[in-house]
Order: sequence, then C-alpha cells, then structure tokens
Amino acid sequence: MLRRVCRFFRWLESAILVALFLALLLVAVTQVLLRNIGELSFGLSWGDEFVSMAVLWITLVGAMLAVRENGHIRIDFMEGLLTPLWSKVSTIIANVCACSICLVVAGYSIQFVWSEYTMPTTDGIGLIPFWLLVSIFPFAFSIMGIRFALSIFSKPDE
Amino acid sequence: MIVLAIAVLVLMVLCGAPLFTVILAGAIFGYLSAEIPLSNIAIVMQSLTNTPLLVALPLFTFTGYLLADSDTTHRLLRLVRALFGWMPGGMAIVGFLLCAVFTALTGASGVTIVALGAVLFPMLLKAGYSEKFSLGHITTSGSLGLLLVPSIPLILYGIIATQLKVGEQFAVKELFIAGLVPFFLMVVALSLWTIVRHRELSTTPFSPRELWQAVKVCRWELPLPVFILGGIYAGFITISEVAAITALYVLIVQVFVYKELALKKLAGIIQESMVMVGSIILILGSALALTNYFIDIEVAQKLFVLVNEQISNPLVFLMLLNIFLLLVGALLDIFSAIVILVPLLLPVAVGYGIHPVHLGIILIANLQIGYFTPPVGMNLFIASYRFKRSVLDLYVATIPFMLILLAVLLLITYVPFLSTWYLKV
Repeated sequence: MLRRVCRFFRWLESAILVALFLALLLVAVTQVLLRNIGELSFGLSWGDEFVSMAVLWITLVGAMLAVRENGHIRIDFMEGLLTPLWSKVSTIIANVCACSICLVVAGYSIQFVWSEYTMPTTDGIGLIPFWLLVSIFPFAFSIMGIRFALSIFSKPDE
Repeated sequence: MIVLAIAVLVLMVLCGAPLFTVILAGAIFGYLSAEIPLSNIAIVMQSLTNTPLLVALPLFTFTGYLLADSDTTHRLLRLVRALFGWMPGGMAIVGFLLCAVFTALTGASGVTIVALGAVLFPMLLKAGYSEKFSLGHITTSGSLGLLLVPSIPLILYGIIATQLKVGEQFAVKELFIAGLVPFFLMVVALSLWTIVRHRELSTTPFSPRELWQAVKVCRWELPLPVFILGGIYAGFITISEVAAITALYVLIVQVFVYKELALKKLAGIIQESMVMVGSIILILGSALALTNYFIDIEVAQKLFVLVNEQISNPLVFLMLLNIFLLLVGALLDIFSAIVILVPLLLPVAVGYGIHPVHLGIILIANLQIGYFTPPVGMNLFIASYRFKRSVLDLYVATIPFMLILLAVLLLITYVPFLSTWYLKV
C-alpha cells in the first residue's frame, strides 16, 4: 500500500514538473505575441506573475526530483580516495547534514507563509492567494529533508 | 561559533553534501550570528524569481537538451562542411565554430563533446588531422562558446551582477555584446594556428550542389542562430522573449516537422532538463541568501581592504585573479564557481576600477579554459571517457590549444577595450 502511494507520488511529481514547464512555455509565448504583434501592446494581466511563480515551482519541484535521482551538484574531491567503509561514513554524514539543513529551512519558511497568510504583502494570481503559492517552500524542503534522511538507510529512489 | 561553523561547512564539502545545502548551512550560521531572521532565506529565494531574466534559464536549457537529443548535429555539420570544407584547415575551423554555437546553446555540460564530438572526431581524422590534434580540438571546443549568447553561465553572471548593484550599472545585453570580440579572437587565434600547422592537408572541393542539399536539409534549423543572435543583439525583443519563442519553435520543429522525437520521449526530456534547472536555480537562490549575510557584515569591503594592502596595482590584481580563476575553473563546476565567487569578487574588482562587464568576460573566459586545465578539468575526463584515451593523452593533446587560449585571455584581460568598446564609459 505504502509502496503504491509512493509510486503515485513520484508519478505525480514528474507530471507536475512537466505540466508546469509546458504551462510556462505557453504563457511566456502568449505574452510575447500579445505584446509585440500589431497594435496590441498589452499582455495577460496575470502573465508575469504566473511566469515567475512557475519558475519558482519548477525550481523547487525540480530540486525535489534531483534529490530523488541523486542529481544535485556536489563537489567530490574525495571520491575515489576513500576506502568503501569511509565513503559510506561520509555519505551518511553528508545526508544527515543535508537533511537537517533542509528541515531548518522548511521550518522557518513556514513563518514566511504564515506571515503572508495573516498579513498579505503581495497579490496572488487570480483566485490563488500568495501564501498558498509560496507554501511550496516548506513542502519542497520537507520532502527533500525526508529524502535525504531516507537515503541514509537506502537508495533515495526507494 | 565561527570555528564551529567553518568546521561543519568543511566537513559537509569533504563528505560530498549537495552544494546548495552547504551554502544554505553557511547562510544559516551567518543569519544566526548577525541576528537576521531565518525566514528571510525563503523570502530572498522568492524575490529572486521576480528577476525577469530568470525565466530564460529553464527555456534555454530545455532547448539545449532538445537539440542535443536530435539529429541537429549531423545536419549542421554537413552544412558547415559544405560551406567551409574547401578552405585550408577548413574542417577544423568549422569544428571550432560549430562546437561554439552548440556549446552556447547547450552549456558546457559535456554535451558538445559527447554528442558533437562523436561525429566530428572521425571526420577530423578522415580529413587527415592527427589523432592528437583532433582530440585536443574536441576537448578544447567543448567549452568554446561560453562567451556567446545564450550561454547559461553568461546569463547567470548577468543575473547575479545586476542583483548586486555594485559598480557601474549595465544592461545584460551589453554583457552579451561584450563577449563577441573576445570570442572571435579565440576562434581566430585557434584557426590561424590550425591553418599554419596544416598547410599541406588536402581539402574537399567546393560544391554548390552539396551546399544546396545541406541547406535544404537544415532549412528548419537555419533561422535559429539568426533569430537568437539577431533578436538579442539587435534588441527588438528581450532575452526572455527570445528564449520563449526559441523553445516553442525548436519543440515544434523537432517533434512535428523532423519527427525525430516521439511525444512520449518529450516528457522525459522536459523532466531531465527541469531537474537540472531546479538544482542550478536552487544553488543560485541559496547563494543569494548567503550574499545577503555577506552584505550585512560588509565582507566584500573587508576583503577589498585586505587585498588592497597587499596589492595596490590593478594589473597585478588581474594577473593573480587569472591564476586564481584558472584553478577554480579546474576544480569547481562553472555554475557553482560563478554563484559563489561573483558576490565576493565583483565588489573587490570594482574597487580596482574594473568594469563589471569586463570582469564577467574575464571570469567566464577563465572558467572556460579551466574546463580543460590539467589535472582535473572536467572536459578532460569526459573526453577521456568518450574516446577511450588515457587522461594523460588528453593533457598532452590539449596543451597547445590551452596555451593559445591563455594568450588570448591575457589580451582580453589587459585590454578592457576589447570587451567594453560598446559601453559609454
């Protein structure tokens, strides 16, 4: 059961990422056309906000997937220099640190979301309020933290 | 506290923790000591996405991945050979230009060496170039073109430098124009050397028919460089707009016109490229969060005072900067290097009277050469893996190319006019 939920979540993650990119592409191109063709020099009123939010979401969802696929950029000076035992130890240390950092950022970004919820400083897009849009921060960083934690015990994929 | 923080950071780097977590750890320690609320990290990252230029990153990266996955390389190679194959050294020069355009489009992530190099290497051998020369050629060309629009490192530098608001303000377009002359100097220097060394090589005769055929096969891709370069350099539309149109155009051409890509595979390419974009922008956001702390404690000013006590001459500073950057380029990947170094280096360089645009060109030219600087330049390993030669062979093969590019680097470092001629200073 849990396995199926996880599989579904991973599928959903990828689907959202692809959908976000396609939406970004469409809106960005529409904006260009509306702004530059003929006498029409207006764009979609929510277009620019949408584009920047889509980039934010793509970044964070993409980063979640990068943890899953072990695709984050790292500096591997030590690779090949360590014995298998030490390389295992260093992987565990790296994952523990990465997990704690992500959870700290997740925790504190809840404050940001909360303050936008109680005292909004920025308009959302249409009916979607800003705090909901930026709640991707605590969500994505929590998922990344959990994934780093899980990869202490197994491959990040499982 | 500071000792503890540095110890943790060093430990994280040595253990191979993802770079963005290392940078965020630095930011967290810094915010704690300067009593900045930690929730600012998310706020800084969110405000980064308001940079209009940022959207160019996902769009151009996607375009690059898409092109790298199609047969574009074969078609373009055929075309440029038909165009320039009759010239002495033509094949090699064509190779430089093509690799440069391809690298500008795809970034120097090794795609050029793997995708284009695989086609170009046998062609160079067949045209009579020695194996050593051909290996050196392809390894060097794998990062040639980083100074050309729409290379991601160039855009990245533009984003960071304009966010920092230090020194003379500039438009990103000016940075792109600044890269043109240094880039052409590099190609010209490499080409001259190639011609002098290979005067005796036979060439393929020029055939208008083959040229026509090649143009016909390429007709859908031909408008692309013209549109990108023309659109940006002529300034009709903004870079992000060019990025959007280009991405959609390439998508339509590859999927519906050439039909080289099944729609199913497209999702995979989107995912792959967006994961890459996600990890780059996350590092960028983390670095800006850290930069916030650096600005708060005025670290760049202190760094400048410190450096200035030792080095008062800007020329000496530039010399040392070059050596330092070459080392960095060989050790760090280019995105991390730019994101970490620019916030620290830019204010110092401005203190020496160096124009931010000039610094950007020096920085990227250095990192470009760093890609194949022994012992650990990344492209040396990619080429070694791809062509099944020892890394040592590649060191030997690339050294002449490296020396030539180093000479050009010195020229563009000490003659700022080559990059800033366009600016009204």
